[in-house]
Amino acid sequence: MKIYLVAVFVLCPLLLLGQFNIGRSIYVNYHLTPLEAVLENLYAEHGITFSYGFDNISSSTPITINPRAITIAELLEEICRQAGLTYMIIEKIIVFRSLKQDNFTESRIPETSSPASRKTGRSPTQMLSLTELPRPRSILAAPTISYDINTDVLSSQENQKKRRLSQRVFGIAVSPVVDFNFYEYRPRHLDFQYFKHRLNMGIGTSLYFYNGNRFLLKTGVNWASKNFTLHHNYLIFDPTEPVPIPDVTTVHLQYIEIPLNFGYTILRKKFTSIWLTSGVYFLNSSREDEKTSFQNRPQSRTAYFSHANNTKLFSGSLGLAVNQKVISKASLFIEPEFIFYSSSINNEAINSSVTAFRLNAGVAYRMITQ
Amino acid sequence: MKKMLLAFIIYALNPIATTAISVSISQSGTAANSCTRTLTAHVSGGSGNYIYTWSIVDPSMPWPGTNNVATVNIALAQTVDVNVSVDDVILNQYDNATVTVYRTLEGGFNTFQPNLITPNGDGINDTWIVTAADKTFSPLNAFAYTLTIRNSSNVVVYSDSNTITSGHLGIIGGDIEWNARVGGTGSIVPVGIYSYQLYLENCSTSTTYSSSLQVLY
Repeated sequence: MKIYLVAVFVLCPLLLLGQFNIGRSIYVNYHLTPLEAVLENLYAEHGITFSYGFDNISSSTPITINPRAITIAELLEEICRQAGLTYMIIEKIIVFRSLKQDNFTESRIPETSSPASRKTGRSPTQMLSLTELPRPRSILAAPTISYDINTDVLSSQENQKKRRLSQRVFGIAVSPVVDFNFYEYRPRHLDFQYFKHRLNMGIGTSLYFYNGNRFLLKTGVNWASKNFTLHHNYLIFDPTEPVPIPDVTTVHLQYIEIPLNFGYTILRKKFTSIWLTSGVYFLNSSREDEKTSFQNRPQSRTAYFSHANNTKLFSGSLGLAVNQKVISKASLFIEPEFIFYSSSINNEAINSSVTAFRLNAGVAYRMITQ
Repeated sequence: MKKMLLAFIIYALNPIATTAISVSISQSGTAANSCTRTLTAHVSGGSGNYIYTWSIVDPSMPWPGTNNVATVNIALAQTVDVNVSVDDVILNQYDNATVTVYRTLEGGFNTFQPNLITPNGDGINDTWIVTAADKTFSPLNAFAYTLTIRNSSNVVVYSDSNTITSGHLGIIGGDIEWNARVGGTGSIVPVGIYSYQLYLENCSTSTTYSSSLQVLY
């Protein structure tokens, strides 16, 4: 992995009360003073607090700055020049890195010059790869800008973690669905007949938005089947009966679902997260079909139940989602949930109290991360 | 030696004793609703001092009850041939007889009960008919039944009962039926759902089948 962040000096809190006027002049005098001592002196003398990790940067690098008044911007550039560093300001945070590990192409060398660029041929304020980090803001071009410094950032590792946790994410998810429907069938007057249903299947696609602070909103389109069958179980003595004897009636019901789900993170790890979810579904019938097989004639379309189908449904859900990151932008998830329907799937066959246990499992892909 | 001499003297002087021993078997309790078969060995001739040996010869199996008696009671779940041999130990004579003993009706019932009839006069499924499980007129393994059929308002539209005493087969397929007429002789009942209770009984079991029945035409 390309190491581009050799050291991060997070000015924390840089300047008093988190307000950082990089154009302010201060008086300094250093003669072969170790870098670490320089930073400590800046804190002691001028209230500039540094919180940093040295990593590959030598904290004993001698710094010499003749006695004079100098702006903080000029001071930083001078320190960078002498210590072989470069820096940039990203999101109001000053990031230092080692010049020795730069591998920029000449085309990326900016035209602007500075004390550092005159010596190295590169501008210390604009030397990061533009594909890796946002384009730096030149502190020389805007010397009077005040920068708010995040005083909570204590180290590069914690900074990364906080940035990761505060990312806002837009993504897309695709998942097959298995529904274990708990239908409460209406009793048949013929006690030997019974309803039955198998696992109903479906598939869903959804767009989700995670606000970076535990809350997730998801919507999309699902396709789900709600099939059921009636087994007539007629027993006749003579199979040559001319009167049609139904055997099995299968009702095919398929719905387009528009979900609106909310999630709340109860566990966040680097690769795994667990969510409590709840939501509502708006269902509209997309396919209604009923066919019956007969003991004494070919299968044909019938209408024992199809007249009583409910074409529009509303449901609520409660569930749990487990998300496991597998690559940088994709993750696998499994989401069991209970669904409670507002009305019956079919008024002729099923009582109104319908519930289902749904098992979603699929892939989520982060499209946009902010 | 003295015994043999005595037997010879008795045999020579007694004209009755000279009759050869002969055995036959009589059987009672053979009705279908009888749960025990009674066999009696009748012996003529000989000295009157007999040893009875009862056995099941086809299929061969151990004798299930008391032996060396003239009368035995047995109840078997399958039809067998029973043999009795009689030995006259005084005259050293021997005879035997064999009889077929039909099974008693016991164990589970063997029924097919339709749940749909179409009494439209086409001759097909016009009658609700209880048969053996394979839809044949084989025995149902029961000797008594009671049938009650009610309409959806729980009014009895037909009832019947019978206990079979003749023969050994008991109720056979076709003995229990309903022609879809009220009381068996009235008008054909309307299309609809009816319920029935069928009570069957044999020597070891009694069961009431309660189910529904569709009349369609």
